[in-house]
Parts: sequence; C-alpha cells; structure tokens
Amino acid sequence: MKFEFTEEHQALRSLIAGVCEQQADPRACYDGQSMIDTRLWSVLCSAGVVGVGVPEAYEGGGGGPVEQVIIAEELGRAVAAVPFSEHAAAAETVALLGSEEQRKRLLFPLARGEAVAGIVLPTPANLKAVEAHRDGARWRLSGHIPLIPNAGAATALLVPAHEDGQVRWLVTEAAQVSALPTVDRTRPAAAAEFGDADAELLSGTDISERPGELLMTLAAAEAAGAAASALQTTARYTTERHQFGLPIGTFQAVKHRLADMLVAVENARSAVYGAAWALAEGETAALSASLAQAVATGNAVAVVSDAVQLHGGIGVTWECDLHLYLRRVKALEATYGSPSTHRGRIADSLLDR
Amino acid sequence: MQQETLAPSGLGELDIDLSEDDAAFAEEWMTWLDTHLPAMHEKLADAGRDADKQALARDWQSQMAAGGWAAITWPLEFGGRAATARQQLIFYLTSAERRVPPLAGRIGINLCGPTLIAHGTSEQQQRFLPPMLDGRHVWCQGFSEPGAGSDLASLRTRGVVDGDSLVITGQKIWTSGAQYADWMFALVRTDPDAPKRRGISFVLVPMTANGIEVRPIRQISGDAGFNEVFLDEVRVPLTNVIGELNGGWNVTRTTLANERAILFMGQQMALTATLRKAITMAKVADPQGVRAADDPHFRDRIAQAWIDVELVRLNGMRNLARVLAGKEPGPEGAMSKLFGQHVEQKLHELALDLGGEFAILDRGAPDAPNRGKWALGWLRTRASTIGGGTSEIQRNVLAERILGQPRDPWADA
Ligand SMILES: Cc1cc2nc3c(=O)[nH]c(=O)nc-3n(C[C@H](O)[C@H](O)[C@H](O)COP(=O)(O)OP(=O)(O)OC[C@H]3O[C@@H](n4cnc5c(N)ncnc54)[C@H](O)[C@@H]3O)c2cc1C
Repeated sequence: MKFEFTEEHQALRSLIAGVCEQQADPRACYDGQSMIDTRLWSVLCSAGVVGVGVPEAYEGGGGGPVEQVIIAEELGRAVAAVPFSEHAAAAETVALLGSEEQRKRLLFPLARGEAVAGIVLPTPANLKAVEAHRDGARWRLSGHIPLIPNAGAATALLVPAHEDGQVRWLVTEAAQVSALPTVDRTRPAAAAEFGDADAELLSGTDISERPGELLMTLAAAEAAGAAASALQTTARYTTERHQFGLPIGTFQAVKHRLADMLVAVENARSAVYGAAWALAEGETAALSASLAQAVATGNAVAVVSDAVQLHGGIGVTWECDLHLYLRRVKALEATYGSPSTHRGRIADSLLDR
Repeated sequence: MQQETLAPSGLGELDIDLSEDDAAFAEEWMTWLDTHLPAMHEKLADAGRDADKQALARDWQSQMAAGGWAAITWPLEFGGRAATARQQLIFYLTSAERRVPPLAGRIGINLCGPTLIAHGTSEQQQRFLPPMLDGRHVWCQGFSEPGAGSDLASLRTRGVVDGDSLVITGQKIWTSGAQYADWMFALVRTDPDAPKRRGISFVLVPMTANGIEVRPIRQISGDAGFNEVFLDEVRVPLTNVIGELNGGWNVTRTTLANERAILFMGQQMALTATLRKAITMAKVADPQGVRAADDPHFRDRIAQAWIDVELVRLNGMRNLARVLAGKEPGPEGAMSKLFGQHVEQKLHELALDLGGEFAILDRGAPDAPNRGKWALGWLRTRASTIGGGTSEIQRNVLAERILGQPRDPWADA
C-alpha cells in the first residue's frame, strides 16, 4: 500500500547510507576544485544506483520515484556531492520522450553513469534564452543559460526549446559548460554557452511536466535528509555538552526547540513521500511536488539553522560540518522555486479555478 | 493542474487490501447505517436545547450498542467486535464521511472501558461495562485538579479507607460532561506518605452519591462544557477501586497508541471540511465587495493552511501504513497531536481572519461571516493546545522519548 516501505526499500536505504558513510567526502569540493565527489559517484555507478530509475531494458535498475527518493534522502543526509537528482530527471526525460533508438543509444551511458547529465528546466526565462534550429538530421542550439543548478560536472545537457510553437527537448554534449563558484560547493552550478552546439531532438512531443516534478521531489528529499541528519547530530550533542552542571538538552528552551525540529523534519519527509507516491502511481504530481518543495526546503533551512544555534560557538566554525548542511539546504531552498513561489502555485490552484 | 486539491482520504485513496472478513464488516456496518442513521439525523436536526441533544446522544448510543457498534475495539465477550486495525479504519472513515453522531458516553467507552478490561476484576467488568456500553451510564474523567494539571501526579483529593469503603474528599476541575454524567472515574490520593505516583488509586464514583456537587464552568466560547466537581466525604465501596489500592498510576497507563493512529482520520476530515468552507468563502465578495482571495497575504496563508492539512493527512497515512503492516506506530504518531492541534488552531484563526472587518460580527448580526460560527470555532480551538496534555508537555515528551533528551530535573523518576 501507499507509504509502506518494504524490506527492499529498507535495504536500499541502508546500502546508500553505508556507501555514503564510507565513501562520501563533501569537503573535497571545498578544499580543491572538484565539481563532483568522483569516488562516491563511481561507487554509486557500479552499485547501479545512478541509473535506478532507468528501465531494466536499458541496463537501469527499473526502480521508480520511491526508490529515487530514498536514495536522494540518504545522499542529502551525507551532503553528498553527486548530481543524482538532476541526472535522474535527465534520464527520465530521455526515457519518456526518446524514440526507441534514442533510448537505446542515450540511456545506457546514463544508466551506467559514464555520462553525467544536467538538466535545464523549461522556465519562461530559459525558453527565451535558447534557440534550436534544424541542421540536416541533427539540430543546433544557440544562446546562453546563466545558471543551471548542479551541472558543474555535467558532460551532457537536456535542454528544452521552442520548436514550432511547442516545447521540445534536446540533448547536447557540445555546449560549453563552465562551472560557477557556489555558496554550496556540493551542488556546483554551471553556465552554458551553446554557440551553435550540435544537439539531437528527442522524438516525443508530449509537454511532460514529469521530469520537473521528479526533480523538485528529489531535491526536496535531499533537503529532508540533510535536515534529519542535522537534527540527529544535534540531539546527540545536546545530551553530551554540559553547561550549568547539566546536559544542555535538559533546558526546555533547548528541548522544545528540538521537538519543533523533529516535527519539521517529519513533516518534510511526509511531504516528500507524498510526492514520491503520487509520481509512482502516475498521478498528476504538480501540487504534490510543490508541497514537497514548499515544506521540505523551508523546514530544512529552519532545522539546520536551529542546529547551528544549539551548537553554540562550535556551530559557526569551518571545522564543524553543520555549515556544509546549512549551505546545502539554503541552496536547495533557492533552487527550483522558493517555498513562497510554490505556495503561490498552490494558492493559484485552490483559488483561481 | 488537474489534481484534486482537496482530496478526502477515502478508502479508495488508501489502496489497502481488505480480507473477506473486513469486507463483510464494512458491508454490515453500511447496511446498519442505512437503516438507522437517517432517522437519527432528522431528530438531531430538530433538537434545540442541549438537554434534548444529550438525550438523543444516549438514544443513539443504545441503538449503536444493540447493533454491536458502540465499542468495536472491545473484546467480543464485552459486546465489542475486537475490530482489526483495518476494520477500525473503515469504521472511523465511514463515521466521518456519513456524519455518524458522537456517542453520549464516548469518554467512558474510549478511556474507562479499556482500563476496566485490562485491570478490572471480572465482577467489576460485569457490573460496569454493560451500562457503559449501551449509554445507561455516561462517564466523566475526574483527573485534573486546581493544583494538579500538567503535574497530574501531584493531585491531592484524598481517599481514606474506612472499613470496606473509601471516603473521598477534595476537588476535581475541568471535568468535561460532569453535568450529564452518571459516573466518574477518578484518581485520588490514598497514601499521602508514599512518593507522588505510588500513593494514587483509580476509583469509580457514582455522581449521585451524597457529598458530590457539580458546578459548570463557562468556557471561553460561552458554552458550559466542563465543570468543577466537589467531593465532600463521598463514600464508595472499596470494590470500586480498579487495580491495586495505591496502584492507580499504572492503571491509567493503558495506552491507546494504535487506536490513535487511526483516529487521525476523523481529525483530518474535520480539518478538510473547515478548510474547504474557508476557501469557498474566501472566493465570495464580502458586503463591501472585497474578496479575501484577491489579497496576496491571504492567498499565502490559505496555501499554507492547505499544506498543513495535507501534512496532517500524510503524517497520518505514514503512521497508518506502519500500523496496518503490524509495526509499532512511529514518531509520526506522537508528533501528530502536537502538530495537529497547532494546525487546527491556525486554521480556525485564518477562517475568522478571512472575514476582514466583518470578522468582528457575532451570531445574530446578518453579515457575520459563517453566521458567527468562525468566531465560535476560533474561540473553542484555543483549548486545542491545552486539553489532554498541553503542547509544552507534548514537546517534552517528543524530546525525551524520541530524541533521547534528559528529563526535566523536577520531574518524578
Ligand atoms: C477543553 C478541555 C477539557 C478538559 N477535560 C478534562 C476532563 O474531562 N477531565 C480532566 O481530568 N481534565 C480535563 N481537562 C484538563 C486538562 O487535562 C488540563 O487543563 C491540562 O492537563 C493542563 O493543566 P492546567 O490546566 O492545570 O495547566 P497548567 O499545568 O497549570 O499549565 C499552565 C501552563 O504552564 C505550562 N507548563 C506546566 N508545566 C510545565 C512544564 N513542566 N514544562 C513546561 N511548561 C509547563 C503549560 O504548558 C501551560 O502552558 C480539560 C481541559 C480542557 C482545556
């Protein structure tokens, strides 16, 4: 039934948690110039995690949004510097809109993670910035996108463009992708200069909202995972750190803040799971995805900020991992629509019909 | 966006497998409702005074008991159905959907009955359960006292053993429904020298006994829902003590966690109904032509209210999925009280605020929003974060039990 995590789901969760515990090194992106946690990505690739949502016929894991959400949540818990969510949304686009021949050719490298995909969402601004023109059997893209979230390591881009009054999706490996310095180094953004880049057009013409909805849900899952981890760390710290002769978790100002953090974390998870199951059952998930975004990212910022506060001075040091979390959840909140943007969408659907 | 924005969580949405037994249960319950419910709805619509409504609620309970529906979670031998989690779910969902009236004696059935079943002697069970079930005896809960609210274990109403009687003197307060009740289950101090929690007994007191005086307390909304109960040398037989003398604290611990996981359905449906109505009204212009739906601040608050109600539903569904899979209720269950009561309060405040300047009008004023009911709902829900354990106490519970924080230094061991 809905919302029931099976034993396979639990096993997947533990697998990802274990891999992250041993392999994830988010600090690598801060100390060096790295745009991706290469070691973690390659372990995730060989474990078949990266292509979990790709159908089995194309060497994927044949999983769906519920499995993807579990993975994204665990990756968020570890502030893992891998573009799992964007890659998954890009692969989903190809799986939905590619011809059989395109799926065969494009999905294998995506499922194996040999290609790292970024995705440009079909916002009005992005659609205005890029033009596509036919060039024989191939296509050419021109224009400039100033900001593509978490595409710093992308070798391929999924790009929407207007063609004949319709939004169509193109795949290119020829764009000039330049990574940008970001506040959260674990999700490095990029700008893309197309300059007549070679591209191919996905044959499907559905104006599918699904890749965007999936991406919003997975990004929200990352935020929920990050918040859960920050809460866990903090609840441990408040039982260990003593002041006035008592563990600081004895003081109600601390205790009650922790309780509110718990509510915020569980609400974030509920919102994300609601969206995952809506996507899994093929329902229209626009509202569920907006709910997930509005709740999970905003709550995560509140929870991690509280976590910093409850750590005192140590919480505002470079050495303490909390700032990795704080940066990550703030970036997630600003990406793919702020909570108030999503509340606006919800209000429109409640009040303007 | 095609998605149904205000989806009621009907059974279909839950997508659970029903066994043959469950399906038969549902069928029987529906058929029973078809026969009995319409007449009761008619009578209730005509009832005016509180006392009439109270009499009807008793009548309804006796009908429900005769059909075997008054206490479905009780064991068969006591007139229950030992309902499975799925059956309870069906029952609560359809009760909310079909507006099944509440039972007059729900406090007894939900709180006292399970305690008697777990801790009573078979004599006590034979004596008290049948009239509790069919509404001949309506019960109230006499726990809180003027000096013992959140710190319930500090209660001071005395019970002195005298031969084979217990003589009770003291005061209870906030006792819901005491003005209509035939019996009260109460906590009294029977050993003043023992540590706080070890000197308390759980005792059943007839409200008709000599020495009992009930004084209604008018609530914030103007209703008289709860009472003060004064006890002056009230004599009850020792056979009315449930469990061991001085063992009352543990007797009260009979938990209802599984049931609570399912009860959220009713709460969520009530919230959805309120939200639906508030949204409908926000789209209608007030007498001066102003529509709340055009105000950006209200739009944001309405979206947030929808989000909150959805979260109550989603938290509940997660918890339900665990319970139906035979697992312990998760942290979502313990959270849902704290979050749910907060959501209820906020939602009613929003509904009132949507009236703009007209929100100040009360019942009787022609332009009062929702005929003054929003104001009433707003006032009534101020109690949501107090009754049944305040939100501060809930926060303590969450932090201590789920997040492993130390207990308050002043709390008892
Ligand atoms: C509508 C309604 C119906 C009720 N029905 C019944 C009934 O039928 N039977 C019955 O026995 N009781 C009933 N009650 C009583 C209810 O259980 C108590 O009101 C409740 O437990 C709080 O106790 P109090 O009112 O004495 O408040 P207090 O305990 O005095 O609390 C006052 C404030 O102090 C805070 N506080 C107290 N202790 C702490 C602490 N340790 N840490 C932090 N903050 C603290 C509280 O959260 C609250 O904000 C009812 C109450 C209401 C509102």
